[in-house]
Amino acid sequence: MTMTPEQARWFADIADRIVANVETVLLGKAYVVRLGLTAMLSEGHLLLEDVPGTGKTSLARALAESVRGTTQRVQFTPDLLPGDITGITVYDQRSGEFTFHPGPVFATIVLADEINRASPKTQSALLEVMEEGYVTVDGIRHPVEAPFLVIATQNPIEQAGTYRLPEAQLDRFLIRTAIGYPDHGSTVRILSGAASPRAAVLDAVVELETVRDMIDAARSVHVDPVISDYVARLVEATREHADVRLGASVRGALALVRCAKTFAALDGRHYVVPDDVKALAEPVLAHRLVLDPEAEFDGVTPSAVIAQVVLETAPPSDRVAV
Amino acid sequence: MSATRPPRAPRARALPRPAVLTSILIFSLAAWAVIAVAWWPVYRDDAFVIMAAVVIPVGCALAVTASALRWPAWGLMLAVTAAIAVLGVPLAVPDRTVYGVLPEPDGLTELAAAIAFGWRRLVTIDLPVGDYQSLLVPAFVTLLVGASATVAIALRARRRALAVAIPAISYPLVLALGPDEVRWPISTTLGLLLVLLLWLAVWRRHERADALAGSADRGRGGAVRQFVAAATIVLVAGGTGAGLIAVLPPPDDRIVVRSVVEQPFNPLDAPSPLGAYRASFIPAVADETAIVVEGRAEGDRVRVAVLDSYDGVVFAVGSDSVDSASGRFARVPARRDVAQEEQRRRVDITLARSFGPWLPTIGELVDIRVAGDDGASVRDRVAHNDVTDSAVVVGGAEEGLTYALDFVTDTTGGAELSVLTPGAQPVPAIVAVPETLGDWLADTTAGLDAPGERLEAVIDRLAADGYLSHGVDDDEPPSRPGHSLERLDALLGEPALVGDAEQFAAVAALAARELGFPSRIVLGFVDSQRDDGGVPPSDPDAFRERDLTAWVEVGTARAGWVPIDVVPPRRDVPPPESNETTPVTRPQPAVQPPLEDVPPPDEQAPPDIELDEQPPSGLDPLLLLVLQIVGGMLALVALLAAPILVIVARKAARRRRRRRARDPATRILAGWMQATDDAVDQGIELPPTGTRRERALASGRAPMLVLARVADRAVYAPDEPSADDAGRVWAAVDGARDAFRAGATRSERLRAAVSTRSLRRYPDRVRRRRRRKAQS
Repeated sequence: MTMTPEQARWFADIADRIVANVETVLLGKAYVVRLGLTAMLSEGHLLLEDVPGTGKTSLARALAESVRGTTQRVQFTPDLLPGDITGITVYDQRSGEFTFHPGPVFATIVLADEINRASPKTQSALLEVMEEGYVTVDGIRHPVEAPFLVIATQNPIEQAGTYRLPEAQLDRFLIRTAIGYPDHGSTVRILSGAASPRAAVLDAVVELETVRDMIDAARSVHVDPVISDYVARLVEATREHADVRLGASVRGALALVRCAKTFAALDGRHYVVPDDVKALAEPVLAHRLVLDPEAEFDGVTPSAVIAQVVLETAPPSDRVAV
Repeated sequence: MSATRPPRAPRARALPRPAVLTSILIFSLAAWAVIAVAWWPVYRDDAFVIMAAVVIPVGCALAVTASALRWPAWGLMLAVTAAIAVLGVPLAVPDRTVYGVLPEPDGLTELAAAIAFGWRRLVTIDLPVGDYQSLLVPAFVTLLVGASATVAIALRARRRALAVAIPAISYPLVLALGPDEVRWPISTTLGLLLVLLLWLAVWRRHERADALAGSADRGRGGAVRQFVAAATIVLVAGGTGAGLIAVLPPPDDRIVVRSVVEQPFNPLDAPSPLGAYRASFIPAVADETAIVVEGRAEGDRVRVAVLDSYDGVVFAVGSDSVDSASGRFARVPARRDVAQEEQRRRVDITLARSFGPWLPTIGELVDIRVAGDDGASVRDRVAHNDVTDSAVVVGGAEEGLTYALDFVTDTTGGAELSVLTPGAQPVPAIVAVPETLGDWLADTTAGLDAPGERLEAVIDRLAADGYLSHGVDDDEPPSRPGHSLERLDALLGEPALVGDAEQFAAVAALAARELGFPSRIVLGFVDSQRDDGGVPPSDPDAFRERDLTAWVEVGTARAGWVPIDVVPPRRDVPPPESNETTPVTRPQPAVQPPLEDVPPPDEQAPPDIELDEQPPSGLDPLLLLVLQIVGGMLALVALLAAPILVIVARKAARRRRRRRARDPATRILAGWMQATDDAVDQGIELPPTGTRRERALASGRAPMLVLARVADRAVYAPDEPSADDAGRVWAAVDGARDAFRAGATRSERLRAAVSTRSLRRYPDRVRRRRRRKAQS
């Protein structure tokens, strides 16, 4: 069953309220907020490559508060162990049994700060939870509660002593983007005290149950076959690009369609249009590309490749010759 | 501390990308090749083909080189000028080269003169001209400068499409310089039109591709599509033109420059008056009055024509094989200044018959006044040759022409022949002399050294051995006309030289040349040479046909041109010796004696073509002319408007077809397409590979955004739109068009109406059609 126009309008109305609520903390970043919301409602995770002080924590907390969810922040360090993320089993002397103590990953929104500073083993533990949706300790599965969104951050400046996320694990993130510094006007407004000082004081605008309904509704957005064809051509174009060694995978194509459906619903539409695909191509596909070393040396970036592919791949247009 | 220099801005590319450059060169070469074909009827010579084949690519190459090396415009002009100097003589004045490559100094001078004056010469000479003298220069300059200018504008100008204006403007100019026969223009016009339209279409495509900055959607289908569109327009225009040609009566001639430029007088166009000399002695006309000269003094010589070149067949005025100033006649706009003005006299001359173009004069012309209603017109056509002191009326002097002639004559008196020495007066070289002339001269001048004495001996021998006979009366001894080499050889081979002024003057003139004297023959009238024929003249002022004579003028160092009468007195011819004259079977001279019943030839009389030019119908000629002009103008307007009408009609049909699409979804989509096409026609650039929303944003019009969203919903949403939605979309489309019309100027509305931009379909449509075709 596909989404109805009324459901789309309901979806967009709630999404607008969430975005507006978060924007009171994160001024001038509606697009990033919508991307974060898209990732959450598409049951994916968000990777923010950004310098410190741009509002990553505020985004996570504000988003969690807006949906009346919980939030956990984990500062990744080299000595962080997997158990510090997932939780551990502790022997209870009184009951003579082992009891599971959940880690910070059991929250609505988990902010994994500077994920590349943890060891690969710890990274893998988190990525397993992101992919599978549960934690396995001592052979017992402990599912995380939906909605579940991991917002991981990487500092693109300081690379010393870090463990770069391998491409296969980058592929697990639905969207990669950057918050970036606010523009001049927003900066002035922040300095003037327009933004709320603390995200924790935000009032929730929806319940978690509503968010779960939204997740279900987003799955039912209609995708015309020509849109699927367009996505397929885009993905194929990334594989055939001269500067790309490894193009976007099928998982990437699926992620793009999934995000496009949510993005269309956020706009109040019950159908996907090529503009949704175009808008999400870079944040969804760019981090999944492996560039040719020579091209990388020449300064070519994945974002530039995606921009070129989008420009050169014509969207579906008129179906009839009139 | 040294100041840091600001980084230099990257320089723009000197040349466009290879595809654009290739198209510029191909279409420039094609356009100028068509124009070269338009030149062909003027030349029709291999030299022209070689010149065009070299000079067009050179012109293009110069422009490309100048652009590649970033020469300024004046640098290109210098390069073209240098190319003209280097290539001009070998290609356009090939006779003035050393080994066919190196230009002679005279060749460069001739090239420069031809650049300035060759255009006029080209329209005042009979076609085709081949590589005659320097007449290839106009085509050489046109093709070289035109090709280089076309490519230069295409590479340099901001509005590069203006380059097509160069061949478009040059083509009618070339036609104007061509022949007036209706030939070639239709095919070459259509060819040039096709080339230029295709060029514009390809150009537009390149511009759009450049605007996309590397768009991959540059399918070749676009070229095919634009070719078909251009070919359709050409076919419509050509079909309309062909239909009009089929319906309307074909014109006999077309008006070109040479139609309105009065052709200069070329004496060689008229037959040699000396060759027609014998016609004056036909009994039927011999006693007719030829000319009346009132007020002349004794000894005045009436000069009809002066002939100074001999080609072995006839004496002629001027020459087409050697340089001769005697053949150049210039207009006499006012009275001429002469040295002995105080000795000016006046006579009144009446032509009893036409002398063709020749206008009889006496002495050195000062002024002439022509009587009659058309006197001023005839006066305007009088031309004079200063070298020979002879005059002509361009177009012919009519019978009955009366004019007053002011002139001066040389009063230095007669000169003693024996003391004369040859002068240096320029005369055309003699091509050939009779074989027997040398021996005859040697025999005549044996023992004499002084040129004057030898000349006097020649004249004396002609008088002694010569017997006058025109050979037209039964009682006259046989005497063939003509003064060809054969005739003169036959004359000099006999002990008794039987002939008349034609032969004696020719022999005397050639003999004088052999003796070193410049010489020429003057045809005219002089009292001392009247041929009474037993019938005294009734009017002493009149000369009869039989009074026409010829004398020789020799150029001397001290006395200038000295006239010498060479016709012997009429007397009986001694009886022939035993060996009778063998009938001559050799080729006859070109000019044969006229038949007795045939009037004197009058080639200069205007042909009697008026009857043929009468309109066949009973319509008033003026009305018919007006109808033809109006019809021609309407046909021209229809021909020019045909492509525009086709565009407007096609767009109206498209809009109607879209509005009546079969289902609401299609009508909505068609409405969106109509809105974008309207925007494109209004000059708005829309990204051809953009989504509907991107195109709507690019249009800068809010209603377009709404239309784009509705169209997207109709296409991508699972539910079918309603008919009301389609109606609202079309109302919005019409509203957008009305809003444009309300805010645009009249010229903007007109441009939008006739714009063909929307008719060139977007590449994505073509690609989709290809894909559907492949799938099917």
